[in-house]
Amino acid sequence: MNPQKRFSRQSFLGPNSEKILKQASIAIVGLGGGGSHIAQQAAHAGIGNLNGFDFDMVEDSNLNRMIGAQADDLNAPTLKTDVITRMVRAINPDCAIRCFMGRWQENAVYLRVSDVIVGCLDSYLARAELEATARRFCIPYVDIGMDVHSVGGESRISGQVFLSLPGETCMWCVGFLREELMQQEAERYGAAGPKPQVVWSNGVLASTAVGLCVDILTGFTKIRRQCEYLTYDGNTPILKQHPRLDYLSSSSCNHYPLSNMGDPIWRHTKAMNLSLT
Amino acid sequence: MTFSLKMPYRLWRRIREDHARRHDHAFERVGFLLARTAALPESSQLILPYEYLVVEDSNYMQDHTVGARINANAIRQALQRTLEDQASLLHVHSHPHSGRPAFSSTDRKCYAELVPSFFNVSPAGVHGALVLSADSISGAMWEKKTSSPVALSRIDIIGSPQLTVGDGYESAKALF
Repeated sequence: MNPQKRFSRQSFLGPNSEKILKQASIAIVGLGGGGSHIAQQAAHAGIGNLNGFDFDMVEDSNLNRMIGAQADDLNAPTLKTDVITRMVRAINPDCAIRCFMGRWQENAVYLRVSDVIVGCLDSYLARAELEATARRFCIPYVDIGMDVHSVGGESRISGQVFLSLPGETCMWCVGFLREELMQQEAERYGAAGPKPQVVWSNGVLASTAVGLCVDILTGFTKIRRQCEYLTYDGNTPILKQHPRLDYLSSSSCNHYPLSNMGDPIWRHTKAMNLSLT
Repeated sequence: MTFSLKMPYRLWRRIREDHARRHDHAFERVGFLLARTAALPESSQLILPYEYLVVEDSNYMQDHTVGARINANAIRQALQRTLEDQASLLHVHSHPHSGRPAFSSTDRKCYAELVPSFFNVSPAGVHGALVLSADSISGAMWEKKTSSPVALSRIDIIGSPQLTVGDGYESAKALF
Protein backbone atom coordinates (compact mmCIF):
# COMPACT_ATOMS: atom_id res chain seq x y z
CA MET A 1 0.00 0.00 0.00
CA ASN A 2 1.25 3.46 -0.87
CA PRO A 3 0.15 5.72 2.01
CA GLN A 4 0.55 8.83 -0.11
CA LYS A 5 -1.90 7.58 -2.71
CA ARG A 6 -4.43 6.11 -0.34
CA PHE A 7 -6.44 9.31 0.08
CA SER A 8 -5.38 11.02 -3.15
CA ARG A 9 -8.90 10.77 -4.58
CA GLN A 10 -10.35 12.80 -1.72
CA SER A 11 -7.80 15.60 -1.75
CA PHE A 12 -10.62 17.95 -2.82
CA LEU A 13 -11.70 17.88 0.86
CA GLY A 14 -8.93 20.39 1.57
CA PRO A 15 -5.15 20.68 1.71
CA ASN A 16 -4.90 19.36 5.27
CA SER A 17 -8.00 17.19 5.21
CA GLU A 18 -6.07 13.95 5.51
CA LYS A 19 -4.50 15.05 8.78
CA ILE A 20 -7.81 16.47 10.05
CA LEU A 21 -9.58 13.17 9.45
CA LYS A 22 -6.72 11.17 10.92
CA GLN A 23 -6.78 13.17 14.15
CA ALA A 24 -10.57 12.98 14.40
CA SER A 25 -12.49 10.72 16.75
CA ILE A 26 -15.98 9.47 15.95
CA ALA A 27 -18.17 7.48 18.34
CA ILE A 28 -20.68 5.08 16.80
CA VAL A 29 -23.43 3.96 19.13
CA GLY A 30 -25.14 0.88 17.72
CA LEU A 31 -23.08 -1.30 15.41
CA GLY A 32 -25.86 -3.08 13.54
CA GLY A 33 -27.44 -2.21 10.23
CA GLY A 34 -26.69 1.52 10.30
CA GLY A 35 -23.63 1.64 12.51
CA SER A 36 -21.73 -1.00 10.54
CA HIS A 37 -22.02 1.15 7.39
CA ILE A 38 -20.78 4.16 9.37
CA ALA A 39 -17.77 2.25 10.66
CA GLN A 40 -16.90 0.91 7.21
CA GLN A 41 -17.09 4.27 5.51
CA ALA A 42 -15.35 6.14 8.30
CA ALA A 43 -12.45 3.69 8.06
CA HIS A 44 -12.27 4.07 4.28
CA ALA A 45 -12.39 7.88 4.56
CA GLY A 46 -9.42 7.91 6.93
CA ILE A 47 -11.02 8.71 10.28
CA GLY A 48 -8.19 8.01 12.68
CA ASN A 49 -10.10 7.10 15.82
CA LEU A 50 -13.33 5.13 16.08
CA ASN A 51 -15.07 4.19 19.31
CA GLY A 52 -17.90 1.69 18.84
CA PHE A 53 -20.58 0.71 21.33
CA ASP A 54 -22.91 -2.30 21.13
CA PHE A 55 -24.00 -5.03 23.54
CA ASP A 56 -25.31 -7.51 21.00
CA MET A 57 -24.22 -10.73 19.31
CA VAL A 58 -24.49 -11.45 15.60
CA GLU A 59 -27.63 -13.38 14.71
CA ASP A 60 -28.98 -14.90 11.50
CA SER A 61 -31.33 -11.98 10.96
CA ASN A 62 -28.40 -9.54 11.00
CA LEU A 63 -26.76 -10.98 7.91
CA ASN A 64 -29.18 -9.23 5.54
CA ARG A 65 -27.71 -5.85 6.49
CA MET A 66 -24.80 -5.80 8.92
CA ILE A 67 -21.72 -4.75 6.98
CA GLY A 68 -18.74 -6.89 7.89
CA ALA A 69 -20.79 -9.76 9.30
CA GLN A 70 -20.15 -13.11 7.64
CA ALA A 71 -21.90 -16.48 7.63
CA ASP A 72 -19.01 -17.95 9.64
CA ASP A 73 -19.82 -15.55 12.48
CA LEU A 74 -22.82 -17.72 13.27
CA ASN A 75 -20.69 -20.82 13.89
CA ALA A 76 -19.78 -19.51 17.35
CA PRO A 77 -21.11 -16.63 19.47
CA THR A 78 -19.66 -13.51 17.85
CA LEU A 79 -19.96 -10.02 19.22
CA LYS A 80 -20.91 -7.21 16.89
CA THR A 81 -18.04 -5.24 18.37
CA ASP A 82 -15.63 -7.96 17.24
CA VAL A 83 -17.06 -7.92 13.71
CA ILE A 84 -16.62 -4.17 13.45
CA THR A 85 -13.11 -4.27 14.90
CA ARG A 86 -12.12 -6.95 12.41
CA MET A 87 -13.61 -5.06 9.49
CA VAL A 88 -12.10 -1.68 10.33
CA ARG A 89 -8.62 -3.11 10.89
CA ALA A 90 -8.80 -4.87 7.54
CA ILE A 91 -9.81 -1.67 5.75
CA ASN A 92 -7.45 0.72 7.51
CA PRO A 93 -4.83 -0.66 9.90
CA ASP A 94 -3.93 2.93 10.86
CA CYS A 95 -7.38 3.52 12.34
CA ALA A 96 -7.40 3.23 16.13
CA ILE A 97 -10.61 1.27 16.63
CA ARG A 98 -11.83 0.67 20.15
CA CYS A 99 -15.12 -1.11 20.74
CA PHE A 100 -17.02 -1.44 23.99
CA MET A 101 -19.29 -4.43 24.48
CA GLY A 102 -22.18 -3.36 26.65
CA ARG A 103 -24.45 -0.40 27.10
CA TRP A 104 -22.78 2.83 26.03
CA GLN A 105 -23.79 4.41 29.32
CA GLU A 106 -21.33 2.09 31.07
CA ASN A 107 -18.46 3.57 29.06
CA ALA A 108 -19.86 7.05 28.53
CA VAL A 109 -16.58 8.74 29.43
CA TYR A 110 -15.20 7.59 26.07
CA LEU A 111 -17.97 9.44 24.28
CA ARG A 112 -16.72 12.68 25.80
CA VAL A 113 -13.50 12.62 23.78
CA SER A 114 -15.37 12.33 20.48
CA ASP A 115 -15.49 14.97 17.79
CA VAL A 116 -18.80 13.58 16.55
CA ILE A 117 -21.23 11.05 18.00
CA VAL A 118 -23.29 9.03 15.53
CA GLY A 119 -26.40 7.33 16.87
CA CYS A 120 -27.72 4.25 15.09
CA LEU A 121 -30.33 3.21 17.62
CA ASP A 122 -33.81 1.77 17.38
CA SER A 123 -35.75 3.69 20.00
CA TYR A 124 -36.76 7.27 20.64
CA LEU A 125 -35.82 6.93 24.28
CA ALA A 126 -32.30 5.84 23.36
CA ARG A 127 -31.97 8.71 20.88
CA ALA A 128 -33.12 11.24 23.45
CA GLU A 129 -30.58 10.02 25.95
CA LEU A 130 -27.77 10.06 23.44
CA GLU A 131 -28.61 13.54 22.15
CA ALA A 132 -28.75 14.79 25.73
CA THR A 133 -25.31 13.35 26.40
CA ALA A 134 -23.88 14.90 23.25
CA ARG A 135 -25.32 18.29 24.24
CA ARG A 136 -23.98 17.98 27.76
CA PHE A 137 -20.42 17.60 26.48
CA CYS A 138 -20.74 19.96 23.51
CA ILE A 139 -20.40 17.35 20.81
CA PRO A 140 -22.16 17.30 17.42
CA TYR A 141 -24.64 14.43 17.21
CA VAL A 142 -25.75 12.75 13.99
CA ASP A 143 -28.74 10.44 14.21
CA ILE A 144 -29.90 7.97 11.59
CA GLY A 145 -32.74 5.51 11.50
CA MET A 146 -35.12 3.75 9.17
CA ASP A 147 -38.45 2.02 9.43
CA VAL A 148 -40.97 0.30 7.20
CA HIS A 149 -44.65 1.21 7.45
CA SER A 150 -47.68 -0.38 5.94
CA VAL A 151 -49.69 2.27 4.09
CA GLY A 152 -52.80 1.06 2.32
CA GLY A 153 -51.41 -2.43 2.22
CA GLU A 154 -48.17 -1.19 0.65
CA SER A 155 -44.78 -1.30 2.39
CA ARG A 156 -43.13 2.09 2.51
CA ILE A 157 -39.53 2.57 3.59
CA SER A 158 -38.80 5.75 5.51
CA GLY A 159 -35.86 7.14 7.38
CA GLN A 160 -34.11 10.22 8.68
CA VAL A 161 -30.73 11.82 9.17
CA PHE A 162 -30.48 14.51 11.83
CA LEU A 163 -27.53 16.74 12.67
CA SER A 164 -27.85 18.16 16.18
CA LEU A 165 -25.30 20.88 17.09
CA PRO A 166 -24.79 22.35 20.57
CA GLY A 167 -26.87 25.48 20.99
CA GLU A 168 -28.81 24.89 17.78
CA THR A 169 -32.04 23.12 16.78
CA CYS A 170 -32.41 19.74 18.43
CA MET A 171 -34.59 16.72 17.73
CA TRP A 172 -37.14 18.01 20.26
CA CYS A 173 -37.29 21.40 18.52
CA VAL A 174 -38.54 19.83 15.29
CA GLY A 175 -40.89 17.38 16.97
CA PHE A 176 -38.96 14.30 15.95
CA LEU A 177 -38.72 13.52 19.65
CA ARG A 178 -41.96 14.00 21.59
CA GLU A 179 -43.10 12.94 25.03
CA GLU A 180 -46.03 10.94 23.62
CA LEU A 181 -43.65 8.88 21.49
CA MET A 182 -41.56 8.08 24.56
CA GLN A 183 -44.71 7.16 26.44
CA GLN A 184 -45.93 4.85 23.67
CA GLU A 185 -42.51 3.26 23.43
CA ALA A 186 -42.33 2.66 27.16
CA GLU A 187 -45.79 1.08 27.12
CA ARG A 188 -44.81 -1.21 24.26
CA TYR A 189 -41.45 -2.13 25.80
CA GLY A 190 -40.64 -5.77 25.16
CA ALA A 191 -43.62 -6.22 22.86
CA ALA A 192 -42.37 -4.15 19.93
CA GLY A 193 -40.65 -7.01 18.14
CA PRO A 194 -37.81 -6.68 15.61
CA LYS A 195 -38.01 -3.69 13.27
CA PRO A 196 -37.84 -4.29 9.52
CA GLN A 197 -34.49 -3.24 8.08
CA VAL A 198 -32.78 -3.45 4.68
CA VAL A 199 -29.16 -2.86 3.71
CA TRP A 200 -29.65 -0.34 0.94
CA SER A 201 -31.74 2.12 2.93
CA ASN A 202 -29.35 1.89 5.83
CA GLY A 203 -26.58 2.57 3.33
CA VAL A 204 -28.20 5.75 2.02
CA LEU A 205 -28.71 7.12 5.49
CA ALA A 206 -25.30 6.07 6.79
CA SER A 207 -23.49 7.48 3.75
CA THR A 208 -25.26 10.81 4.23
CA ALA A 209 -24.30 10.80 7.89
CA VAL A 210 -20.64 10.11 7.09
CA GLY A 211 -20.69 12.96 4.58
CA LEU A 212 -21.99 15.29 7.30
CA CYS A 213 -19.28 14.09 9.69
CA VAL A 214 -16.56 14.74 7.13
CA ASP A 215 -18.00 18.17 6.42
CA ILE A 216 -18.07 19.04 10.13
CA LEU A 217 -14.39 18.14 10.33
CA THR A 218 -13.09 19.51 7.03
CA GLY A 219 -15.63 22.16 6.02
CA PHE A 220 -15.20 21.07 2.41
CA THR A 221 -18.66 22.22 1.32
CA LYS A 222 -18.07 25.68 2.87
CA ILE A 223 -21.68 25.53 4.10
CA ARG A 224 -22.29 26.89 7.60
CA ARG A 225 -24.86 24.47 9.05
CA GLN A 226 -26.98 25.05 12.13
CA CYS A 227 -29.00 21.86 11.74
CA GLU A 228 -29.81 19.21 9.21
CA TYR A 229 -33.04 17.24 9.25
CA LEU A 230 -33.32 15.03 6.20
CA THR A 231 -36.24 12.75 5.54
CA TYR A 232 -35.90 9.68 3.35
CA ASP A 233 -38.59 8.03 1.25
CA GLY A 234 -37.08 4.69 0.36
CA ASN A 235 -39.73 3.89 -2.21
CA THR A 236 -39.36 6.88 -4.56
CA PRO A 237 -36.36 7.10 -3.49
CA ILE A 238 -35.87 10.67 -2.36
CA LEU A 239 -33.78 12.18 0.42
CA LYS A 240 -34.69 15.79 1.13
CA GLN A 241 -34.85 18.41 3.85
CA HIS A 242 -37.77 17.86 6.18
CA PRO A 243 -40.42 20.57 5.72
CA ARG A 244 -40.64 21.12 9.50
CA LEU A 245 -37.40 23.11 9.34
CA ASP A 246 -39.21 25.76 7.30
CA TYR A 247 -41.59 26.38 10.19
CA LEU A 248 -39.04 26.92 12.92
CA SER A 249 -39.16 30.49 14.24
CA SER A 250 -35.60 30.32 15.53
CA SER A 251 -32.57 28.07 15.17
CA SER A 252 -31.66 28.34 18.85
CA CYS A 253 -32.68 25.55 21.20
CA ASN A 254 -34.57 25.91 24.48
CA HIS A 255 -34.45 22.22 25.33
CA TYR A 256 -30.76 22.03 26.12
CA PRO A 257 -29.61 25.24 27.85
CA LEU A 258 -25.88 25.68 27.46
CA SER A 259 -25.68 26.17 31.23
CA ASN A 260 -26.54 22.47 31.60
CA MET A 261 -23.30 21.42 29.94
CA GLY A 262 -20.61 19.63 31.89
CA ASP A 263 -20.57 17.18 34.74
CA PRO A 264 -23.75 17.36 36.83
CA ILE A 265 -23.50 19.57 39.90
CA TRP A 266 -25.67 19.78 42.98
CA ARG A 267 -27.24 23.18 43.51
CA HIS A 268 -29.13 24.51 46.49
CA THR A 269 -32.44 25.97 45.38
CA LYS A 270 -34.20 28.81 47.15
CA ALA A 271 -36.29 26.27 49.02
CA MET A 272 -33.04 24.70 50.23
CA ASN A 273 -33.83 21.51 48.38
CA LEU A 274 -31.02 19.99 46.40
CA SER A 275 -31.51 19.77 42.66
CA LEU A 276 -29.28 18.26 40.01
CA THR A 277 -28.48 20.21 36.86
CA MET B 1 -3.67 18.12 34.74
CA THR B 2 -4.31 19.08 31.13
CA PHE B 3 -7.15 21.27 29.91
CA SER B 4 -9.10 21.44 26.69
CA LEU B 5 -12.05 23.64 25.79
CA LYS B 6 -15.15 23.29 23.63
CA MET B 7 -17.37 26.22 22.83
CA PRO B 8 -20.53 26.27 20.69
CA TYR B 9 -20.16 28.34 17.56
CA ARG B 10 -23.13 30.46 18.62
CA LEU B 11 -21.22 31.60 21.71
CA TRP B 12 -18.05 32.27 19.73
CA ARG B 13 -20.07 34.45 17.38
CA ARG B 14 -21.55 36.31 20.36
CA ILE B 15 -18.06 37.14 21.63
CA ARG B 16 -16.87 38.24 18.22
CA GLU B 17 -19.89 40.50 17.73
CA ASP B 18 -19.29 42.20 21.08
CA HIS B 19 -15.57 42.62 20.50
CA ALA B 20 -16.20 44.15 17.08
CA ARG B 21 -18.20 47.03 18.59
CA ARG B 22 -16.38 50.32 18.90
CA HIS B 23 -16.04 51.98 22.28
CA ASP B 24 -15.89 55.71 22.93
CA HIS B 25 -12.45 55.64 24.52
CA ALA B 26 -11.24 52.03 24.89
CA PHE B 27 -9.28 50.64 21.96
CA GLU B 28 -10.73 47.16 22.40
CA ARG B 29 -13.44 45.32 24.28
CA VAL B 30 -13.16 42.56 26.84
CA GLY B 31 -15.63 40.23 28.45
CA PHE B 32 -16.07 37.20 30.62
CA LEU B 33 -17.24 33.67 30.04
CA LEU B 34 -19.02 31.48 32.53
CA ALA B 35 -18.10 27.85 32.06
CA ARG B 36 -18.83 24.37 33.26
CA THR B 37 -16.29 21.56 33.43
CA ALA B 38 -16.26 17.85 32.68
CA ALA B 39 -13.78 15.15 33.53
CA LEU B 40 -12.03 13.40 30.67
CA PRO B 41 -9.88 10.28 30.72
CA GLU B 42 -6.24 10.48 31.83
CA SER B 43 -6.64 13.33 34.34
CA SER B 44 -7.78 15.80 31.77
CA GLN B 45 -10.52 18.39 32.16
CA LEU B 46 -12.84 19.81 29.57
CA ILE B 47 -13.85 23.47 29.90
CA LEU B 48 -17.32 24.27 28.53
CA PRO B 49 -18.11 27.99 28.29
CA TYR B 50 -21.87 28.56 28.24
CA GLU B 51 -22.53 32.27 28.67
CA TYR B 52 -20.74 35.43 27.64
CA LEU B 53 -20.91 38.37 30.06
CA VAL B 54 -20.72 41.72 28.32
CA VAL B 55 -18.82 44.50 30.08
CA GLU B 56 -21.01 47.59 29.95
CA ASP B 57 -19.55 50.65 28.23
CA SER B 58 -19.65 52.64 31.46
CA ASN B 59 -17.32 50.13 33.13
CA TYR B 60 -14.39 50.87 30.84
CA MET B 61 -11.83 53.25 32.35
CA GLN B 62 -9.88 55.91 30.51
CA ASP B 63 -6.38 54.51 30.07
CA HIS B 64 -4.57 55.01 26.81
CA THR B 65 -1.60 52.90 27.88
CA VAL B 66 -3.54 49.69 27.35
CA GLY B 67 -6.16 48.40 24.93
CA ALA B 68 -8.84 48.27 27.56
CA ARG B 69 -9.08 48.69 31.32
CA ILE B 70 -12.23 47.80 33.18
CA ASN B 71 -13.23 48.92 36.66
CA ALA B 72 -13.86 46.96 39.82
CA ASN B 73 -17.61 47.07 39.19
CA ALA B 74 -17.25 45.01 36.02
CA ILE B 75 -15.13 42.44 37.78
CA ARG B 76 -17.51 42.34 40.73
CA GLN B 77 -20.48 41.67 38.45
CA ALA B 78 -18.65 38.79 36.80
CA LEU B 79 -17.63 37.37 40.16
CA GLN B 80 -21.22 37.62 41.39
CA ARG B 81 -22.46 35.54 38.48
CA THR B 82 -19.66 33.05 39.06
CA LEU B 83 -20.74 32.66 42.67
CA GLU B 84 -24.43 32.36 41.82
CA ASP B 85 -23.85 29.81 39.05
CA GLN B 86 -21.10 27.87 40.82
CA ALA B 87 -19.25 28.25 37.57
CA SER B 88 -15.75 28.63 36.26
CA LEU B 89 -14.86 32.10 35.00
CA LEU B 90 -12.67 33.07 32.06
CA HIS B 91 -11.62 36.55 31.00
CA VAL B 92 -11.69 36.97 27.23
CA HIS B 93 -10.34 39.61 24.88
CA SER B 94 -9.26 39.85 21.25
CA HIS B 95 -6.12 40.73 19.33
CA PRO B 96 -6.56 42.46 15.97
CA HIS B 97 -4.70 40.03 13.71
CA SER B 98 -5.07 36.66 12.02
CA GLY B 99 -3.36 33.50 13.09
CA ARG B 100 -2.81 31.90 16.47
CA PRO B 101 -2.87 34.61 19.16
CA ALA B 102 -0.71 34.68 22.29
CA PHE B 103 -0.96 36.55 25.56
CA SER B 104 1.09 39.74 25.50
CA SER B 105 3.38 40.69 28.37
CA THR B 106 0.68 43.13 29.52
CA ASP B 107 -1.89 40.32 29.42
CA ARG B 108 0.32 37.99 31.44
CA LYS B 109 1.01 40.64 34.06
CA CYS B 110 -2.69 41.43 34.36
CA TYR B 111 -3.78 37.80 34.53
CA ALA B 112 -1.24 36.97 37.21
CA GLU B 113 -3.39 39.03 39.60
CA LEU B 114 -6.83 38.91 38.02
CA VAL B 115 -7.41 35.20 37.49
CA PRO B 116 -6.30 34.10 41.00
CA SER B 117 -8.90 36.55 42.35
CA PHE B 118 -11.61 34.43 40.68
CA PHE B 119 -10.84 31.69 43.19
CA ASN B 120 -12.05 33.97 46.01
CA VAL B 121 -15.66 33.31 44.98
CA SER B 122 -15.21 29.84 43.51
CA PRO B 123 -12.28 28.16 45.23
CA ALA B 124 -13.20 24.66 44.09
CA GLY B 125 -13.37 25.57 40.42
CA VAL B 126 -10.80 26.18 37.73
CA HIS B 127 -10.58 29.57 36.05
CA GLY B 128 -8.72 31.08 33.16
CA ALA B 129 -8.40 33.43 30.25
CA LEU B 130 -8.84 33.35 26.49
CA VAL B 131 -7.52 35.54 23.71
CA LEU B 132 -9.11 35.55 20.26
CA SER B 133 -7.74 36.61 16.90
CA ALA B 134 -9.66 37.05 13.66
CA ASP B 135 -9.57 33.32 12.99
CA SER B 136 -8.06 31.56 15.98
CA ILE B 137 -7.98 31.35 19.75
CA SER B 138 -5.63 30.54 22.64
CA GLY B 139 -6.04 30.31 26.33
CA ALA B 140 -4.81 29.13 29.68
CA MET B 141 -6.32 27.76 32.86
CA TRP B 142 -5.38 28.06 36.50
CA GLU B 143 -6.05 24.88 38.47
CA LYS B 144 -5.68 26.59 41.85
CA LYS B 145 -5.24 30.11 43.15
CA THR B 146 -1.51 29.63 43.52
CA SER B 147 -1.00 27.58 40.34
CA SER B 148 0.91 28.71 37.31
CA PRO B 149 -1.28 28.93 34.22
CA VAL B 150 -1.49 25.86 32.00
CA ALA B 151 -2.05 26.45 28.30
CA LEU B 152 -5.19 24.89 26.87
CA SER B 153 -3.93 21.91 24.90
CA ARG B 154 -6.85 22.01 22.50
CA ILE B 155 -9.72 24.39 21.77
CA ASP B 156 -12.70 23.47 19.61
CA ILE B 157 -15.33 25.85 18.34
CA ILE B 158 -18.17 23.42 17.80
CA GLY B 159 -20.28 23.83 14.72
CA SER B 160 -20.33 22.73 11.13
CA PRO B 161 -17.59 23.24 10.20
CA GLN B 162 -15.64 22.95 13.41
CA LEU B 163 -12.53 24.95 14.28
CA THR B 164 -9.84 23.06 16.17
CA VAL B 165 -6.78 24.78 17.58
CA GLY B 166 -3.92 23.15 19.41
CA ASP B 167 -0.33 22.05 19.01
CA GLY B 168 -0.26 19.27 16.46
CA TYR B 169 -3.86 19.77 15.41
CA GLU B 170 -5.06 20.76 11.98
CA SER B 171 -8.39 22.38 11.29
CA ALA B 172 -10.55 23.60 8.50
CA LYS B 173 -10.45 27.37 8.56
CA ALA B 174 -13.33 27.88 6.14
CA LEU B 175 -15.96 30.29 7.39
CA PHE B 176 -14.06 31.42 10.49
